[in-house]
Amino acid sequence: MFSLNYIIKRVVSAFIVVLGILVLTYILIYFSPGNPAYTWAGRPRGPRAEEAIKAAESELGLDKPLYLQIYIHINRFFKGDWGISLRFKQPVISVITRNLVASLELLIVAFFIAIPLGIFLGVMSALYRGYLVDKVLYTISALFISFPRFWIAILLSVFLQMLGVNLFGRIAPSYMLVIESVSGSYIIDSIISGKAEIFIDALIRILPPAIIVALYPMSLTVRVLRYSLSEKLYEEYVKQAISFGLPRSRVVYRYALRGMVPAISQLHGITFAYSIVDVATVENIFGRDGIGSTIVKAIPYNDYPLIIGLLALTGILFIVVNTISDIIQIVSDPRVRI
Amino acid sequence: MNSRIVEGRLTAFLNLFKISRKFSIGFTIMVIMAILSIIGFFNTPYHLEGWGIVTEETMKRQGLPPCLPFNCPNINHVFGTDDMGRDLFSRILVGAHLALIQTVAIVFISIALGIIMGIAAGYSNMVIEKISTYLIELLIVIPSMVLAAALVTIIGRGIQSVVIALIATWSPWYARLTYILVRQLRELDFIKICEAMGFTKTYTIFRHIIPNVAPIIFVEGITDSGSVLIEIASINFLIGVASLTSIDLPDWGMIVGYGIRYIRTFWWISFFPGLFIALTALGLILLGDGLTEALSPWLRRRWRLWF
Amino acid sequence: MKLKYIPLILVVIIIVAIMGVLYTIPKREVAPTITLPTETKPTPIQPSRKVIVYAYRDAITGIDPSIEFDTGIVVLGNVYEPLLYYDPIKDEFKPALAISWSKVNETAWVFNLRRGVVFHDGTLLTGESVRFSIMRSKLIYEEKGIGPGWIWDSLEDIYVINETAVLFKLRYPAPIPLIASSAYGAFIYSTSVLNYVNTTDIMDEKIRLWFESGRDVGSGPYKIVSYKPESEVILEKFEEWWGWDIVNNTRAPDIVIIKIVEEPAAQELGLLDGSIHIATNVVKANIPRMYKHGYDVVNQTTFHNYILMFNVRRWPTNITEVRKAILYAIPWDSVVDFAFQGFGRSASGIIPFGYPGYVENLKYEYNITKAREILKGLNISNIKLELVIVSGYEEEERFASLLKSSLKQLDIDVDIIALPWEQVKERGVAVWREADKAPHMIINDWWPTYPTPYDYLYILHSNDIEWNWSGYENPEYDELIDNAFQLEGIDYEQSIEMYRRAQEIIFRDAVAISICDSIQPYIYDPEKIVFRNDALNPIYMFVIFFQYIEVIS
Repeated sequence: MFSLNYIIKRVVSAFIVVLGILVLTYILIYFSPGNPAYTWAGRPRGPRAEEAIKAAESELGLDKPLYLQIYIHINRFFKGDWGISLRFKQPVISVITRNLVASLELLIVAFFIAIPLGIFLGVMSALYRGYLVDKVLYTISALFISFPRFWIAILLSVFLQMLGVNLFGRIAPSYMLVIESVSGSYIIDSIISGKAEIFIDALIRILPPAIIVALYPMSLTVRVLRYSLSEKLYEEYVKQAISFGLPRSRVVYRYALRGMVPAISQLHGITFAYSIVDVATVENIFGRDGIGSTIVKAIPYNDYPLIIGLLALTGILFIVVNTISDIIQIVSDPRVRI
Repeated sequence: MNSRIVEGRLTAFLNLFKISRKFSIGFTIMVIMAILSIIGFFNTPYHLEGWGIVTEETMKRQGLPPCLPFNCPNINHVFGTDDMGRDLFSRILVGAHLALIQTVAIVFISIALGIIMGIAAGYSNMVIEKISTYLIELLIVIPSMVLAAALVTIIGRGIQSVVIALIATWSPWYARLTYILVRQLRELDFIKICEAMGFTKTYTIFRHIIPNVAPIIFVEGITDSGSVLIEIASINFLIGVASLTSIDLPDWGMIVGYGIRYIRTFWWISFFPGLFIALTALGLILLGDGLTEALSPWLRRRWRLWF
Repeated sequence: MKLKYIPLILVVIIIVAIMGVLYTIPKREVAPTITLPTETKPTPIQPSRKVIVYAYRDAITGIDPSIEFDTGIVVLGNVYEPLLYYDPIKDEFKPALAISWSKVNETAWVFNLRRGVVFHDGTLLTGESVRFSIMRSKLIYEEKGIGPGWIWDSLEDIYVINETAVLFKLRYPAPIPLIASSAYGAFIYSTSVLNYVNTTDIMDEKIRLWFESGRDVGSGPYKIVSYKPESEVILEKFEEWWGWDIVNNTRAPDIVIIKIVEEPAAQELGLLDGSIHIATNVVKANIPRMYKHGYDVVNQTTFHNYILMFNVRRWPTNITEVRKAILYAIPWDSVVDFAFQGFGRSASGIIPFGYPGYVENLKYEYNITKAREILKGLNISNIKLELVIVSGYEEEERFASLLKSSLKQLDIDVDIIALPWEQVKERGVAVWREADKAPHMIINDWWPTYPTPYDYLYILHSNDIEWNWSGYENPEYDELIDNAFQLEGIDYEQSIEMYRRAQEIIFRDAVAISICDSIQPYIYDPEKIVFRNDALNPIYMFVIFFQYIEVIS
C-alpha cells in the first residue's frame, strides 16, 4: 500500500519545502533594514563596539556573497544549530520545542474532542436534514465558525472563573516540581509517573481552552458532513442497503461514513494548521505557555532567529500532519493510489 | 451582453432571496455593515483620539456630552467609553471599514494569485508546473500567525505585514482548488477539442478555463472571507499592539485585545467590538452558504432550503 | 420519532458532564495539597513545601550575572549577592558578602569578606571569586562592549590580601561601596564555573552559555531549579545560605516560581484562581476592586521614572521657547491622576524623589495662556510634532494622549508613535545621525544601575550617543557632571551640589524633564503572604527578596 516511491516523494517534498522556507526567510532578512551582526553581538557599546560588530559579521558570514551565506545558513540549520534567541539568549531549538510541545498538547486534546463530536453531530445533522435537529446544529456550527474564538474564550474564562474553576496556566503551581519532566507535556508526564491528582488537575486546566480550540474544527466537520453525507445517503448503495432491511444507523456509520473518512481526514489536516492561530490567542487568555505567548514576547525584540525557527518547525509539523492525513486517506479509500 | 441577460441575472439574484433565507440574512447583515463602514469612513459621532481631561472644557463648549473614561453604555455613548474616554461606537464604526477593506482585499488578491498559481500548476509547461506545485506546497504549510510575526520583524510594523501574511497563506488554497478544477477540465472534451483545433493555451485559458473556474472559487472565497476576517482579528488581538504602527488604530481585534484587561470590571470595552467581528463573520458565512446551496443544482433539486 | 431526540439529549448530557467534571473536581483538588506529603515521599521535593508564584510581566533576558543588564535581575537578585546592599530610603549600607570595608587611601579600598559563605555548588567564598566575578564583568564590557561592566571603569585591579580580605585598587577616586552595591554587574559567584565549562579563559563564550542554560553558582538564598526564560523560572530554597539565622524567617517560601505573564487579564485570572500569589501587572483601574476582594497591595516607591526628552536638533523643538511652551501646556496636576492613575509621584527635574541628587521645585506649571503667548510671540502655529513612546506601557500611552489633547489647544498636532523598546531606542539614537528623522519628543523610561546622580544626568551628556536622545550638547553641563562624578569619591557634598547646578541648567534649557516617578503596586493575598519591610529595595527593580516573605498556609 505504501510504496517506497511515495515515501521518497514525501520526504523530498518536505525537504524542498523546508529549504524554501529557509531561503525565503534568509533573503527577506538580507534585504531588511537593520544590522543582524549588531544584534548578534549583543548590541555592544563602548570603545570596542566596532570590533565586536566586525567579529560578529565574520562569525555570521555576512561578508560573504549572498549565495554562500544562504548555503551556510542552510548548513547550520540542518546541523541543528539554529542560532541563539536574541530575546532569551538560549538556543532557539530548545526554546521552540518546549513551547511547541505545550501548544501541541492543547491542539491534540482539542482535536480529540473535535473529531468524534464533530462526526457524531455531523451525522445527526445529515440524517435529520430539514428537521429541527439539523437547523439547530447548523445554527450552532455557523455561530461557532463565525464567532471569534478568542472572544468566546474571554467570556468563558470570566464565567468559569466565577464558578471557581481553576483555569490559569497548565498545572497547579504546587505540582510543578512534583513530577519530573519527561515529555514536557504535563498530561503525559503525570500518566507516566502515575499521579492521578496531577493528571486531573492538568486535565481541568486544559479542557476549557481545548473546548474553545475544538469549536472550529468541530463545526467545520459538522458542516462538511452535513453537505456531503446527505449527498451520499442518496447514493444507490446506501439506498439498497436500507432496502435490504439493515438498520439505518448501522448503514450510516458502517457504510456511508466510511466513504467520508478521506474527506474528514483531509479536512482535519488542513484545519490543524489553521487552528494554531486559535491556540495562540486562547493560550494567552488562559495564561498558558506555548508558541502564542512566545511570539508575543519575541516580536518587540525583533527576535528573528526564533521566529524563523518557529516558521520552519511549524512548517515541518504540518507536513507531518498532512502526511498522516494522506495515509489515513489511502487506508480508508482503496481507490486512492499514490 | 444585452439587456435581457442583465434582466435575467437580476431576477436570478432576486430569486436567491426567495430560495435561501441564509442568503437574505447574510446579505442584510453585510449591507448594514457596509453602510456602517461608509458612515465611519466619512464621519463619526465623536473624535477618535483619547482626550485626557483638558479638552473636556472645549467639548462642553461645543455642546457634546462629556467623555469620561469607563462610561457604561448609555444614551450618549451607545457602547460606552473606554479607558481613555473614547467613545466605543465611534471606534467600532471606523474599525468597520478597516476590517471590511482588509478582508475584501485579502480575499480578492488571494483569489487572483491563487487562480494564477493554480493555472500555472495545472495548465502550462513542465518547469513552471513543477515550480508552481512546490510553491503552493511551500506556502500551504506556513501558519499565518507565525508568518505575520516574521514579517513584522523583517519588513516592519503596520497593517501591510498582516495583510501580506494572510494573502500568502490563503492564496495556496485557491491555487490548489484551481489546480484540481483545471485538471478536471482538461479531461473534458471541449478543452481537448480546443487543443486539437490549435488554439493557443492563452486563448483557452482566458476563453474557457477562467470562466469555468472563477465562479466556483469566488463562491468559496465568500464563505472563506468570514474566516479571513476572524484570522485578521485574531492576529491583531494577539500581536496588534506590537505589530501595528499606531496604538490609536481602532482595529476591532486590537480593541478586544486591549480591553480584555478590563473584562471583569468594564466588560463593554472588549465585548462590543467582539460582537461586531462575530456578526460580520456570521453575515459573510451565511452569504457564502446561501450562495453555495442556491447555486448547487443537486441541492436545489432535492431539498427545500431550510434556514 | 424517538430517534430525533436522542442526539439532543446526548449533546446535553455531554455538556453537563463536562461542566460537572470541571465544577466538582477542583473542590476535591484543594484538600490534597495538605494530605499529599505522605503519598509522594519518594520524590525529592515534597508538595507540602511552601510554594510562592510571583507573576512578572516581561520575559527574562538572561541570567549571566556579569553580563545581564535587563530583566534578568528578577532572578539574579535572589540567586546571587553583591558584596553589600545599599538602602536608599534609609541611606545606609547593609553588609552582604562583605562584613566591613574601609578606605585605605583615595584610590584603595579594603573589603573584609564574610566567613563560611557557601556557593550553591558547595565551594567556599574566597577573595579569588570576588576578583573573578568583578573582573569578568569589567573585561567583558571593555572587550565586547556588552553588559554593565562600565560601572567598574574606575577600577584598576583587585588584589587578594588573604582568605577573607580583598583590596580594590582604583585608577581615580570613586565611591566603591556604592558601586559594589550596584544592582547590575556586582554579583559575586564561584570560580568553579571555569571547571564546569573546562576553560581557563575568563572571557570564554562557553561560560555565558553555561549560565544561560539555567545553571548558577551564586551564594544567594535561592538557587535555580528550572529556567525557561519565556515562561517560568523555578527557584528552590538554599538551606546552607549564611543569612537564614539572621533573617529568622521560618515561614520563608521553599519554592519560588517566577512566572512570566504578559497579559494583565491573565495575571488577574491567576490571582483570582489562586495560581499566582503576587502579581505586578494588574491594570491599575482594577486595583480598587481587588481590594474589595480581599487582596492587598504593597506600593513600592521606585526610582523608575519616565523622562520626556526633546529633540534639540530639529525644528521647532530646537527653539528653547517652544519647548517651554510645550511644558507649560502640560496639565501637570492631572499627570499623576490620569496618566498614572494615582500610582506615581509628581516629579521634579530629572532625578526621582529619594534618590541622591534629587532637587525640589524644578517643576513647570500648567499655564496655557503663557504657552499661547510664547507661541504667538514666535509666530509659530499649526505645527505637527512626533512623539515616540514604548508600546505596551499603559502610563506612557495615557500620558501621550493627555499631551496630545492638551497641545491641540495650541494648534499643535501630536503624532503618537508607539514602538517596541528596541525600535524606540533606534529612533532615539537617530538624533545624532539624522536629527530631522528623529522624533521631536521621546519618552525614555529609566532606572538606575547604582545610586549615583551621574547615572541619570549622563543621559544628556554629549558623549553618551547611546542614551542622549535629545542631541543636547553643552560643554558647561558636561564638565559640571564629569567633575561632580570625579568628586564623588572625595567630597560627596560638593559633588551633590554640582549635580544640582547641572540639573538647573537642564531645567533652564528645558531639554528633558521627568514626567512622573512611578509607584509599583504588588498585589497579593494577605491571607497567604506577609511582606516584611526588607522584601523590596527600589534599586532592584521588580526584585522581591523572598527570604523576607512569610507564607501562611
